[in-house]
This record gives sequence, structure tokens and C-alpha cells, in this order.
Amino acid sequence: MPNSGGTSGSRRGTLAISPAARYRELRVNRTVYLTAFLLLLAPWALWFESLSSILRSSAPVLALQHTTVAALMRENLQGFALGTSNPTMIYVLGAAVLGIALFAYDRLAGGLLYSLEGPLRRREVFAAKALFGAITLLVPVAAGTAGTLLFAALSGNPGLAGAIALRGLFDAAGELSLLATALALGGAMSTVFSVAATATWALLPALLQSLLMNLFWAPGVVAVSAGGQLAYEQAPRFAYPWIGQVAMALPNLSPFQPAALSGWPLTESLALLASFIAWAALMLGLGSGWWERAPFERLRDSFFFPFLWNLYYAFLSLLSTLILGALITRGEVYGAAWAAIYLALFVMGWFFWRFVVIWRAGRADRPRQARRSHVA
Amino acid sequence: MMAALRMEGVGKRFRGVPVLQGIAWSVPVGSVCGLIGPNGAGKTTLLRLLLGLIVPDAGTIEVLGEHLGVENAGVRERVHYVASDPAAVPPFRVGEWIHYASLAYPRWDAPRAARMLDALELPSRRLVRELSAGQRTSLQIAVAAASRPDLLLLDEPTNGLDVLVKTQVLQLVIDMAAAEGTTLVIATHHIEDVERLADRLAVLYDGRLIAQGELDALKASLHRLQVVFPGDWPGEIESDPRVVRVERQGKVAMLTVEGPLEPVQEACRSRGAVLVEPLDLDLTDIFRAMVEREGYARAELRWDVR
Repeated sequence: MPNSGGTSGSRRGTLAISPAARYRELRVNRTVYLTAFLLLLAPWALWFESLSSILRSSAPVLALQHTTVAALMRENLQGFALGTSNPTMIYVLGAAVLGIALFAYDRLAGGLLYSLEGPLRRREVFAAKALFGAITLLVPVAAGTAGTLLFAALSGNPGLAGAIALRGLFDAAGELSLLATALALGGAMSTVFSVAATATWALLPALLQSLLMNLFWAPGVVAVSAGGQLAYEQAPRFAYPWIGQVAMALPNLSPFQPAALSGWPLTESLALLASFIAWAALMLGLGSGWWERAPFERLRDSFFFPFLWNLYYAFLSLLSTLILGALITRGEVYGAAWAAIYLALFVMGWFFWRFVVIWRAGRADRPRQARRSHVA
Repeated sequence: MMAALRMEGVGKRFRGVPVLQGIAWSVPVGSVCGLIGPNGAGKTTLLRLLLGLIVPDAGTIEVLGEHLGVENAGVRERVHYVASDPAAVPPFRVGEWIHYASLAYPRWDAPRAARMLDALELPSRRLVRELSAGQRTSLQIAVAAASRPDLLLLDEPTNGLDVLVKTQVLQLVIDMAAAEGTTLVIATHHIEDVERLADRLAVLYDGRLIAQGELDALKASLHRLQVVFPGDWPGEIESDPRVVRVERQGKVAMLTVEGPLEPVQEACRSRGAVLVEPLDLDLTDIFRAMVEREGYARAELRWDVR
């Protein structure tokens, strides 16, 4: 008697992930998930080891340093809450690499196309990656934050619990937003391009600040001008819904710290937290939508959608603008003149790279066209 | 009769190059339809359109009574696609693939899957990518049979199969089609398989469907005539619109004739033919005549010319 194992009929039109989609995702990407999980747990193990070694510190050593276990622990836990001593950069990298690897390995292993020839819904495939990716990222953060709270309680620092918990939430939300960004990009373009796009995304805040410095610095003046200073400091703040997920990884964006320790109002901290979540939701929605509408005849192309080539031209143009701009201005041009030069280089670069890419694609197609005409 | 699939004015372009144009095709439920065409004619693209995996640029597609849109997962529960050289090999062991398929297909027949694996001697612990091409095809056929599809699309299903397995596999799908009313579409270069199995035929050439219908009717539309002219070759025979192909060797000529045979026989006799004999025309000859009529030609391959 045939069984009725499939559940596709009942799940049509819902957001549920079918058992087949869950099974497929875990079988195909189990190595990726397991590796990422262990790599993300490792820094926490080191962190806990350093905290427990403080707890085990002998009285003579502490006396020599004129401190106590509670004070030493407070110092370390404050560092954690401020994001200066926790392994945030590893999480950020881990989230980005995981998001890219989930699609890359699936494409490489070949299971992606096969699965989509069957009755799986595309949205389920994307949702399964988002679900298991989020679990892989969040379990270490949750466990690490819980462990850190335990150390705070054991060391007589219960007053830091709020800041530690907030830092844990920031870490989790930041990782989610980066995972969602990488998944959206990984689903819409080939591996090499999604790596480049995600890396560019992660570097944008620093690049933005660097560009702003050049825009606002007055020639011959060592210190930044008042307007430049303001723009330099405030730009990331205004841009945080867009670039916020990498803020924690960049020491020069230290204004984004949990309220309890940095003096930031709690409402602003929560707004930043909400912006991470909103960004993650936006990226997941966008990525899922792209993935659902992706023309699979382009599965092996660099980009599923032709309009994404414009991002590629912009990326190449950005690189060439930075190099040529530095050679032309030699650090001696600032303000409006600097902006005009860089803008002109960027626009010209966009058209130049567009021409080069299309010209090369045309050359690659020529032998194929010749063969077709020969057959005809 | 209800159509298992119906296409109207379907067109598809890849990078601006037309791959399929103006396809109007219909296959009745329960029939076995052979889909033949030269390399690059668009057979695989046509099957992928039927799966709803790619979306046409023009026209409409209806499969098992449902109009295809963007997602089409519901249709793929009842349509199964088997490719002998799949673009994607699942990174599963055989047993894992079977388990996955049992979760994915609502009408999964577990006992049938077990019987098929046993009969095809497929080891459940082996990785699918480590199987030979023939074993992979056999496994796909087993999964297809156990998922009990209403429409089975076979893309070069017998490539890489040894003759014994090929016979076994083809017999299985034909038996399944007969017993369960499954509609089969077999895209293949092995015209003899189509001639043996199919009751309908569709011929694809350069992205266009140049012929379709019942196999017997298509075969009856073309004939071969062997004629011998003792004197000069009468050139007007070649310009007769009913004669689609002429192969001459000395005084003997083979004519491929479209439509009723008798008028051409009479025309040959009236021009002095001493022998006018109808010969059997197999499906390969019919296929060749059809595509050559559309302009297909290949340069002669010469081993002694650099």
C-alpha cells in the first residue's frame, strides 16, 4: 500500500518547511553547518577558559596586582559588554561565510537543481537554509551569553547582567542580519560574486568614513574641520540601518555600545537592535523573493538577474576609482574638487567596465555563433 | 480526449538567442509520445518548460490540467523528470535519496521502491555520484516509478544503459504506463526505441515543432520509392513538390515521397521508368526527410581531408 509521506499538498500557500526540504538541507549542508557550529563555539570555549582561570586565581597573585577576583572579572565582563574583548569579528565572519557557503556548497554538490526538478518549493529551500543557518549561529551566542551571565553571577557582578544580555542580543541580531544579507546575495549570484559582494558590503562603513574624511578635510589643516568632524562621526549613525550589522566589528564605530556602559540611551540601543532585525527580515524577504523568481536557465551564470550586473560594474568602478583617484589626487585635493574627481572617475569607470564586460562576453559568444551558422 | 500537456505559442530565448519558437503541442493522457530532434534542437529545454523549472518568454503551458506559473511545485508532485545525464547529482547515498523522495512525493510507493532497488541491484549504501551512469539512470527510473507520476518525462533515458538493463527499464516504464495510465514523453536519439514504444511522435528542429501526431499517421505520410530510369535522368522528378528527397546512384534512384504514392509512381512510369517499386521507410528515414525538408544539412565528414 503506498504511503502518504509527502506533505506538499497541505503546505501549499503556507510558510511551513516540509520534512523533505528539512531533510534535504541537513543532508546536503550538514558539513557546512557542523563546521560553522564548532568554529563558532570555539571562541566561547576560550573565553570561558579565560574567565574560569580568573576565578581560579590565587590570592597571592591577586594581591600582587592589587585587585580582587570580582574586580578582575568586572573588568573582563565590561570588555565583553562593550564588544572589545568578545570574539565578535569571528561571528561576523562566520555569519557571512556561512550564508555564502550554504548556497555555494549546494551548487557545488549539485543537489540544488535536482531538488528543484522535484516537488520542493523554492521558498522552502531558502527558508530551510535561513532556519538552520540561524540555529547554527544563535545557539553558540545563546550558550555563550548564558555562560557569561553565569560567570557574572558567580563572580559577584550581577549588576552587569543587563549589559551582557544586551550585548548577546546585539551579537545575535548582527549575525542574523549578516547571514540574511549573505543568503540573499548567495541566492542571486554565483559564489565568487557573492563573496565579493558580501565582502564589499562589510567594508562599506569603513570605506564610507574614509571617503567622508577626504571630502571634509581642509587642505593643510591637521585636524578635521568642525563640519567634517560632525559628518565623520554621525555618518555611521545615520547609516546604521543599512550598515549597522558590521558596526560591532569595527572598533572605530565604538559609539554603538550597549546603553548601560556607553551612556547611549536605552531607546537608541533598542532602536539599533530593531534595525538589525528589520534589516535581516528585509534581506530574507528580498532574498526569498529573488530566489523564487530566479530564472533557472541562468543557474550557472554570474547573476540570476541582468540588473545585478550593474552592481558588478559599480564594484569594479569603485575599485578602479579608489586606485586612480589616489594616483590623481596624491592626497593633495580635498573638498568639492576631490568629490568631483572621484565622482567623475566612478561614472566613467561604470561605463568603461560595462563596455569591457559586454565586449568580452561578445568575444566568448562569437565561436558559438560561427558554429551555428556553419551547421545551418 | 483530455491532454496531459498542452502548449500554445511557447517561445524561449537564452541570452537573446531563440531556443524554442511558436511551439504548439498537445499530448493526450495515457499516450506514449516520442520526442526526437537533432542535437541542440531544444528537447531538454522543452521538457524543463513542462516541469515548470524555467518559464517561457511567450505562450502558455498547461500540464495535467494546471496552467504553469512561476513556482509549480504542486505540478511537480505528479510530473517526474528523468535525465540519463543529469545536470545535478544529489549528494546522497542511494538509501538517503529514496528516503528523501519518500518525504517529497505524496503518492510514494515504498514497497515498489524496495522491489525496484532489489531488481536493479542498486546498493543502498553507495553514494549516488559513485554509481555508473547506467546505475544512476536506473535509480532515477526506480524513484520515478515509486513516486507514481501521472506524467513521466524521460530525457535520453537509455543513454549509458547496457542492452539488458535498457530492455528491462523500457519494459518497466511501458508496463507502468499501461497499468496506471501514466503519460510518457520520451526525448531520445534512439529512434528505434521510439518506433518500438511510442504511439505518438513529435519532431523538433531548430526550436520549432515541425511534426506531431500519431506515429502511424506520420509514418503513412511519407513513402519510399525505388525507381530505375534506363535513359537520362528526368530532372522534373526532383522539382515535383511531392518528392522531398532524391538519392541517385547511376540509373537507380531512391525517392522519398510525401502524401499519396500513386501519382508519383504514375509520373515516374510516364517518364520512362522501367522499375517503380515502393519500399518500407523506417522512422529514421522519415525523421531525416522531415528535418532535411526544413533545411538541415551536415557537411560530409572526410577522414582523408585536412
